[in-house]
Amino acid sequence: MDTQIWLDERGRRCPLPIIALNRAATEHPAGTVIALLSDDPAATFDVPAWCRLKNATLLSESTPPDGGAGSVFRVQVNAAT
Amino acid sequence: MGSNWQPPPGLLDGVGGQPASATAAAAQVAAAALAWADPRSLHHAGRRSDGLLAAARRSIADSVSAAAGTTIHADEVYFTPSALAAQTIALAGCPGPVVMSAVETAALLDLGDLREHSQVIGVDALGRVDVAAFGQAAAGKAIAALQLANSEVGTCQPIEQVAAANPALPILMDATGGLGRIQLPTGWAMLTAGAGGWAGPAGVAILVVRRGGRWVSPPASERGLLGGFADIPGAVGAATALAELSAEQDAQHDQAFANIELLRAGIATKIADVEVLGDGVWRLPHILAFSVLYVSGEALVLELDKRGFAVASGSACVAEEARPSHVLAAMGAYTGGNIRISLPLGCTTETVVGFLDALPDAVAAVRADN
Repeated sequence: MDTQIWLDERGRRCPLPIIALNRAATEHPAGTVIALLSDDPAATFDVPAWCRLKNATLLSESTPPDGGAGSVFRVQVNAAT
Repeated sequence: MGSNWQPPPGLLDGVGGQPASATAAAAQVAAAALAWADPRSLHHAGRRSDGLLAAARRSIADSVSAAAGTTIHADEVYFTPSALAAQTIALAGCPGPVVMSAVETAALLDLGDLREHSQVIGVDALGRVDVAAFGQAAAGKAIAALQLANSEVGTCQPIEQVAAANPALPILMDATGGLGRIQLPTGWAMLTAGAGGWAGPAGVAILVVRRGGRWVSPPASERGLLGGFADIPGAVGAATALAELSAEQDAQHDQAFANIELLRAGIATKIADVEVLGDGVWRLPHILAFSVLYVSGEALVLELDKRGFAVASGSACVAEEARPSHVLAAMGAYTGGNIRISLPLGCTTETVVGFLDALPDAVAAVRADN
């Protein structure tokens, strides 16, 4: 599954990365894959919890391609989030 | 009801302290005038201090006995300056690796981590350890640290089941938050609790060590007392406060339990995108945590404060180290926009209903700033 949307939320603290993720999820159809790039320590906990609460799927959590701080969270939007 | 305790209106952070009852405050002041001498001194002022300290130990033993449904002796009770000090002394008397739940206090987890081969056992989404997993990890451990209930989310731990499955394992039970509020389970070897949990003085805690256990009292102990000079007025205030609460435990429990039930149901229906946390049934009567999506915990605490309600939060933006509460993290809970409610003793239903009325507007105001 290819990533369709990139959100670079580095330098922004909770709840801003989750607000950005939610906004992207509501603006795009089910099946869309969003990559959220965040260095907020809370994102490690809150992205999986958000996916559980909003019926989205966390496909992967990995280090950023440029090797910088934070993580890339790949999230697939599901129907009726 | 609630005449013994008069918390300020809007106080929903009882874990963070509440004013002492008039009876407990008076007992502490009276003791301060009498018990200024070292209780180890042989002269009459010292013996007077010693007598008041002994009476406070007896009183605590009676209250814990009533809560535990078994006899606790006065010489099994020790006073310390904090729950952490009590836990440190408890662990020091039981050398060797510790098995502990992931939702123990951060300070206790740090203490356990200092020991080689210690192990932390995760919890489920409600914040509870699995009895079998905990028992499996208990093999080869010197001691277990398992709390009575969690002060952040309220969930009770299966102490009796863990004890029954591991009869040779001494359990150190952190009862802060639960002593005076719920009946105590059987099966623990040592109990610690801070007096702030029952509206006693913040600088007093207790350690209860059951007879016949493995615990060795620390150096400089004498005559059945820990070394050093106990805060006897504080001990008297703590003992008086616990006795007062014990006499009212059932009424306070039922009122608080019903008020939290009201909050759990009300929050879930009045706020969109909210996660109500912890076990709604097997829990402390006065504790509730919930997380509101798309708001910062700090902003929501301050917004509620503006509206007259004092609450706490386990969100990262509220903590100094920018990491969320390890309890919420261990549960896999949403950690942002977190609010911790702890009803003080004497909290009225009017306060709780007022909070439920104010919360939707407070959340809307913070979300509008996004």
